[in-house]
Amino acid sequence: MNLAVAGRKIVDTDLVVDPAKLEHLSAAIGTDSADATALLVPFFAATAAGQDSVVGPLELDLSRALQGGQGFEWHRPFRVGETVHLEVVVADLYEKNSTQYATVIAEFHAADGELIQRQRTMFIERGEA
Amino acid sequence: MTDIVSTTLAAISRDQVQDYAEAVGDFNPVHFDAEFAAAAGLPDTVVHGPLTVAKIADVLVAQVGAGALLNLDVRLRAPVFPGDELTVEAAEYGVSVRKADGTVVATAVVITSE
Repeated sequence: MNLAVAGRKIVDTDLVVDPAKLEHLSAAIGTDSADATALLVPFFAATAAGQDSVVGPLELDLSRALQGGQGFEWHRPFRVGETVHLEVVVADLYEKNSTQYATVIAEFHAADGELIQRQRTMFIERGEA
Repeated sequence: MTDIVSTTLAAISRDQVQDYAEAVGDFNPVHFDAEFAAAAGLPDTVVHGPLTVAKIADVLVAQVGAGALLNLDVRLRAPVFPGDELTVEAAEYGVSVRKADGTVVATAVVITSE
């Protein structure tokens, strides 16, 4: 990982809540309640600039990286087709026993500034064998 | 929080993993390429961690409703593979998720408005 990005904003962009992506997300969940759930849990890396929005700045080695956790603070569900503003900040980044840990915070705001949700994601990159 | 009724989920299929990748743009080969996964020391390709999280959230949505959910904080503890059958059950702090063999793959703190 790139330890130099600690504290930095790595995404700052507007995006549209894409119905096609929500449809895929609902299909992946695959239950009667999936449509409602899909409006709560889009993963930020998804909608912003794809996986590269995080992998690039963090310089994650995908052969050694995994996701250690994910948290949501919900204020309301997303609305299909709405434009939202996304900011992603690397809140914490450290190394312990040759394993590196990054905590990334993503905040989604509506056009009027209303906070829609906050996501916290922890990435772990194991040390090279 | 509201008590959660223990729920065993249908096994996550490779098609669902593909759908999740399409939804979020995550085509990391560890989710699709068995040789890549083996090189990382895994017995099979792995299900995206956030898909497991989404499945946990979905159990909560089905039981308490989307409007009642305020916070969900999930710690992923073990990889999930296509075909794994997961059971979501209440725990003192929220919910835990285990495979049929008893392996705990995730624990989560849940806060609802009820």
